[in-house]
Amino acid sequence: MCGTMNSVGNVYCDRCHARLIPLTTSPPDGDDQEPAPVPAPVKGLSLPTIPLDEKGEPDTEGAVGREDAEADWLTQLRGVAASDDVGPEISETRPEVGMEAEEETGDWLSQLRPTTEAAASVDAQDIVPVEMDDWLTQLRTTPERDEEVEESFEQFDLPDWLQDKEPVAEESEPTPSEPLAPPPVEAAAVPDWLVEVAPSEEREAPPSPVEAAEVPDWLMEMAPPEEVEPAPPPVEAAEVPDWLMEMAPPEEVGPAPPPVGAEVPDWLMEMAPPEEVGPAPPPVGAEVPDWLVEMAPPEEVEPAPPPVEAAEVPDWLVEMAPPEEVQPPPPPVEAAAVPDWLMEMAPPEEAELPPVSPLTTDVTTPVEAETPAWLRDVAVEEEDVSRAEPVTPPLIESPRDAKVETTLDWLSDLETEAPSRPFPPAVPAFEGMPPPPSLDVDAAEVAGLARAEIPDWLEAMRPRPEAAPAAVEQDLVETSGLLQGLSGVIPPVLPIQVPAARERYVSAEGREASLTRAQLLQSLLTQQVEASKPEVSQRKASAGERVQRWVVALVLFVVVVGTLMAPLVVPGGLTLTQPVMSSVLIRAYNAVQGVDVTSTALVVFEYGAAEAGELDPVAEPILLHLLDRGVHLEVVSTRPEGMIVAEGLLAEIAASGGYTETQYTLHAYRSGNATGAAQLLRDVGVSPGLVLVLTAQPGPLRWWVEQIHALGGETPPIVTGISAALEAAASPYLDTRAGQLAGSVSGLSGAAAYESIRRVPGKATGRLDALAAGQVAIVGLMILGAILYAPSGLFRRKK
Amino acid sequence: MASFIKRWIPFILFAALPGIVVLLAYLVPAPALLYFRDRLVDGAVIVAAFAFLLGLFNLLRVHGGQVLRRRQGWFYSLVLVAAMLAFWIPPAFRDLPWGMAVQETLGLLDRMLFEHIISPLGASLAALVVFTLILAAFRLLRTRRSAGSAVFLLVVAVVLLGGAPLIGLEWLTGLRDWIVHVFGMAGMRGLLLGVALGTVITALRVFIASERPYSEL
Repeated sequence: MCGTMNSVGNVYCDRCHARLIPLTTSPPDGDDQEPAPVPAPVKGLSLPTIPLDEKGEPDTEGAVGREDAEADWLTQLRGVAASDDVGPEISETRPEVGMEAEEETGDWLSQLRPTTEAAASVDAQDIVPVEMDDWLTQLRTTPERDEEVEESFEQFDLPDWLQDKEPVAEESEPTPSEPLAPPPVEAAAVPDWLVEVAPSEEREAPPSPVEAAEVPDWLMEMAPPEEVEPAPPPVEAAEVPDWLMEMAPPEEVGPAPPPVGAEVPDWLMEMAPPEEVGPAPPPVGAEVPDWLVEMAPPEEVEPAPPPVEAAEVPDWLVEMAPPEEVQPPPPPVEAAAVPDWLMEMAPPEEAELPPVSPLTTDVTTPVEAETPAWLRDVAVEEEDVSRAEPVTPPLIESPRDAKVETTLDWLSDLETEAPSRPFPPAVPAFEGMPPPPSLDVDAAEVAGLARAEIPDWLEAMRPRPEAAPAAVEQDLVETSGLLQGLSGVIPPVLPIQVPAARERYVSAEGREASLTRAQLLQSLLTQQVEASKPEVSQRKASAGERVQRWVVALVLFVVVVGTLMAPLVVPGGLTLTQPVMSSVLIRAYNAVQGVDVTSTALVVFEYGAAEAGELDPVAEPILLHLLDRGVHLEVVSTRPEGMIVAEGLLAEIAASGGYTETQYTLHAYRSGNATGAAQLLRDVGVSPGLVLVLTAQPGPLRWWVEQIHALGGETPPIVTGISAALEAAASPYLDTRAGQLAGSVSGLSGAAAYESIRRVPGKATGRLDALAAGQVAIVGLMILGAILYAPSGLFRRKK
Repeated sequence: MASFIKRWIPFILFAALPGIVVLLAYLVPAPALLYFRDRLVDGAVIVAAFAFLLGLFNLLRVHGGQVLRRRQGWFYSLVLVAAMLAFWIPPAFRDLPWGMAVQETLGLLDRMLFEHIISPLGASLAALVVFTLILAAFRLLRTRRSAGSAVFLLVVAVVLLGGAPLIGLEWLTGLRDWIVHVFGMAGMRGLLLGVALGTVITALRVFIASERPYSEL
């Protein structure tokens, strides 16, 4: 206790939430009833509930029997509530017949009454039983008790919005089986928070002759405003505690006349199945407010109003009940009492209404409404937890009276289904989480918890067992690793999994087709590889071709060798040729002749051993000419074998002509072709008086000509000694208008002509006849071939 | 920045700058440009020499590997490697200070190898070319009967007979010279001009980095 001064109507302290009003235990009802039951745990605000241990009460009282088939999840909830039990003194006792109104209203109302001035002013005799729906009638304990309650129902002041429901209850078709037509009951004093829940239109509806029960404002606010219900019979208004009055907005508190008898708010009606509400309304009892009726399905409301005044169930409670599960309401019941759990849901200091679990109550008499134990448990939990939750689990329990024939069908179904069904967990089964251990039923019963029935529509809202099996399937106990011993661990999944859909679409035909295509591709690739291999066809020469080869070789051999050997056979030899002096040859001779004797001649050997047979006779007369003139020779080459050829030739010339090696200088081989030529021209050091290029290929001739003329300034004369085949390539440079080459000695005939100019016969002159004979033989073979094959070609064309 | 270095630094250092310097040295023979041109030319010659050596060692590695692994044709590879070493060792070690006798011996060996092996083999290959050409000319009208073939044979005959100044056929010498120095020079000039233009274009492409023969980029 914090010692804070609270208002008179507060049941709990605004600051520390401690209970300010001590709870009282109801005395035993009489001989026919069981002694005072073990008080059910009530925590916080709660409506009068049926004690858990009332199973021993006579059936006439409509005690709520315990259901062995109660679901585990409800049991667990109850167990949780029991664990949070504030104490046995908080338990409520069901009011007994003949008790005074103060006792009949339940502890929660009795507690509220001294706290409110209105409650004190209201006489218990003024309470008029209200019409109740059948499903609310189930909440009623016993018929006897109903009668007693009818008498004492006047002490309840029904809220205005409940009073407004009276016309609806009157409009509803009275159930012929319901003999009870309770007289108008004064509306019980309904707290303001219930009044607020009721819609304004309802409050504005014409009051019924019965005093309207006072409804808390927060409940009035919850009611849909568009619902307009006929004014219920006048019911004496119930007293509303201050704390509820504080919660209710002042502007919403309307002077709704209470209906006849205690009306059940629509939100309670909504929790009830629509089918139940329709035919249910008893002829006498509290009427359901319009806004509650509208919240319920229309087909439920139309047949609902019984002639008997009955407590109306709020629509939002009716809506929460599945329509298909709704059964016709039970016989009319008089009066309804605001359950404790609703009271509990509205803490004094909280203006916000906590979500109320759908509850279907069957209020048949104005006797204090009893809250089942499971509702109390839920209320206990909600007080702590469910404020932030938008919707509480649909926990609905309707106290079932075994002897009441008007039990709702959906409640009746629970009777049969609940025992057979497995007890679901109290909390939804989350995947990957092991289900919570179920509470022992016996233990729960011992603890004073009554087994509740679960309606079908509530069963539908219960956590699906489909999720549980999935978790159960995965509920494998780890046998190794860090998670050893744990169950329900998410099994490891392969990093890469082929989608099942893909596997589903892969058919055997597809595989075969793919295999066929793969084989075809493989065959094509193989063929391509095979085709890429070049077929080396070793075509064998025909006999004619072999003869031709031998004939050609023999002719050339005979002609050349015969010509060369002729001087040996014929004295004086044969003279077949006469050297011809060409202009180019003469210019070359003049260029060499014009070289200063003190100057240096750059001799470039750009031919190898393969061309040495032709170029050596060409180079020899020119080199002899230079050596005879006393010109120093600087021998260079850009070919690796060039210097060897030069060395051999010069050595031969020096040996034959009496020259010394001091007259020429052999430079090392220079790589780089044109670059090497440029470097050689630079490294010679002296400006040569003549450049003699000896080559059988056009490349060296070209780059030597280019590099020499690229030096700039006065370029030395260039004389070439080339092969006969290169004469055409050198002809552009030999043009007198171009002037790149001073002269040229081409081929063996040119060398022979050069020798003839110098009048020094040499190798060229000796080989010229053999060359001429060989060339004549070649021309003869060509003509022979043309003669042979030209007619054969004509014959083939004719064929 | 990395792409710039990778792309343009080699171009500037190894293509554009040397080319421009060498080219400007030919066009504007300034002493500085001539100096840098000569240095660049020396570098190019050294690089070419090492490239020759690189080819030599590569040939030795390839065929040496075939000999060691006894692959197909390994015997020919063995002959190639032996001939290469035989013709490479004498001139390579001839100028070393072995003494006069050794140097003369190595020089004689080098010359003998060239004169008695390389020169006859080279001459024989050239002679085979002549023999092959003669045989092809002999069968020319068998495979290709056309006016071109006939003209080809006629020109060949005239040039051959005119090149060999046979007595009595001197007039063919003049005809041959006319064919060579008119038709031959015309064709050869066109070829040389094409080569020259190709060289200029290649140089320009290298200068503008459009072609990078020095890089694989």
